Amino acid sequence: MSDQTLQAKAPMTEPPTGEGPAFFPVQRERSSWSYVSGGIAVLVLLGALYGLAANQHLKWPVFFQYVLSGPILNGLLITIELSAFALAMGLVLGMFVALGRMSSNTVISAIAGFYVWLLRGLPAIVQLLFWGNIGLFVPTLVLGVPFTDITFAEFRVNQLLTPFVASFIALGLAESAYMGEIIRGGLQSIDKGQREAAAALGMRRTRILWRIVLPQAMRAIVPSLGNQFSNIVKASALVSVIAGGDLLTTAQNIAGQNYRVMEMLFVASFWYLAILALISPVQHFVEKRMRRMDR
Amino acid sequence: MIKVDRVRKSFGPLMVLKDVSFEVAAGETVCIIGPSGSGKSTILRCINHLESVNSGRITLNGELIAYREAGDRLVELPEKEIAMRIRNIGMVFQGFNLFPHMTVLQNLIEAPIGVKGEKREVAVERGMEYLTRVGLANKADAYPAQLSGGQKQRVAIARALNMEPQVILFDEPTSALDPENVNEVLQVMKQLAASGQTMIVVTHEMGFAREAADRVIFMDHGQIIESGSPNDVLSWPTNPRTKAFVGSVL
Ligand SMILES: Nc1ncnc2c1ncn2[C@@H]1O[C@H](COP(=O)(O)OP(=O)(O)OP(=O)(O)O)[C@@H](O)[C@H]1O
Ligand SMILES: [Mg+2]
Repeated sequence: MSDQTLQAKAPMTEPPTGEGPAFFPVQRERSSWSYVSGGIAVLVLLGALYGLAANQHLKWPVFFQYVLSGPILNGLLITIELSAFALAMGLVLGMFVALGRMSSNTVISAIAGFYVWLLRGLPAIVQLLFWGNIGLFVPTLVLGVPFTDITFAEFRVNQLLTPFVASFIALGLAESAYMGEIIRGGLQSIDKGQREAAAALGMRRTRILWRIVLPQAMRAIVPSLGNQFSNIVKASALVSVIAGGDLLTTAQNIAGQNYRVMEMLFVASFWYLAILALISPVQHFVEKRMRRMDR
Repeated sequence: MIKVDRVRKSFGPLMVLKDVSFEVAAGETVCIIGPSGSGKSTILRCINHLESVNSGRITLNGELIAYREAGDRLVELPEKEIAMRIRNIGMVFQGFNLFPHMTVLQNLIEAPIGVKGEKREVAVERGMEYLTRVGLANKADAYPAQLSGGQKQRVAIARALNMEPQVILFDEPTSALDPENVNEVLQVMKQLAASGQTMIVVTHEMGFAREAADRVIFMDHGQIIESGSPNDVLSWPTNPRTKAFVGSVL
């Protein structure tokens, strides 16, 4: 696309002959100020890097000692698992949230609306602390028929809700509210002629949703999954407040023993940035594959 | 085959259909003409229940399509039963409404397999026959975005045909097309009419109505003003409103 526009514009460098005002290609002159400011920026950056590299108090060997160490890699794995599970849970629950909000049943759509409002309104850290500490006031979880003595199973909440599970639930629920809105937007972006054509062929609502509307809505939804995933990865660092065992928790635990707080933060930062750097190529790949259908 | 009996339909305070009645016999091609906003699309959409009616009865082979009778009132049928009947009524839209995420052939076999429970090979074989009939067998694996408007509409006709409906409704099938694409679609529709397919066609193409219709219905302001053979309605209209309309489009 941009290649074509460039080519199309290229012949314009020859001014047209004939009557009328002269026509010249425009070239912006760089002011000397832009060279100065650019130079200053580069100097500042080099200075900062040099300061980091040469700082007497930063022990780079510590960074290299830990960045590939077992506990850190384990924490990294937990962060990735946690984020992936939370995204998956967000997608599945988000689907129900979206359908609930679009329901013609006002009670259902009001409940779904409240759910979204609540989970998007509460800070993620509050939700994490809530699920991490819920065992304090709901010690046992009973599966059974409400208001009767019939019970199928009973769990100790503290055993069930390990920090990992609590983190997963908190992040997944919060994500479901965001995903719900994204999915709803995707579903509503589909032209109503698509539903009508499907209905005219005798398809029923559920089939229309799964076979016609959702596959098309995915094209609006999938590009935002990458952004959502990077948001969750970053939000998952909050899990350290309930000792979720993630990357940041692990780095902080090690820092607590070796007192190299900065070095360990750099170790964690390195991996967070590495994950984020990997997301966009994957996103590009997926979007490219999806675009094949409207060649 | 199709009987529309005193159908009324309002959108809020606006009454769009005022006691519309007509019948279409098996094998007939009926064209509905009339000025913009006269209710032509609405009557088609009521027939296959894309819109509900306020009163009146629409039957296919004597059976109410989307309702059951309870005393003197009509009660909407469950979704499942409506879908069961609507599969016998095909529809071709002005805007094609092909499924863009499916190939041409997938568009054709989706409903026969998913709705009728047909075997894939059966649906594919018949689908290819219909694609051949509309002259697009070589586009079976193309996506809708790769087709011209005329090709899209021919695929949409083949898609409707592949459900083997008893009647097909066309809502201005050529109005969204570039002029050079109109004829290829009308050609397919004429063949279809000649083959004995029951069709109800809302159209502004008077040439098509004259040539292919068994009957022409002129609607204005939600009412049927005049109805008869193409020659009667288009060449010798009796009602002044029909005269004015026919004069304006010819
Ligand atoms: N969903 C709707 N809500 C409100 N009013 C509607 C709706 N659909 C149609 N109408 C109105 O009903 C009237 C009849 O519309 P209809 O689409 O049936 O006309 P038409 O004869 O098909 O016209 P055209 O030739 O422009 O397609 C119009 O005044 C239109 O504005
Ligand atoms: Mg119309």
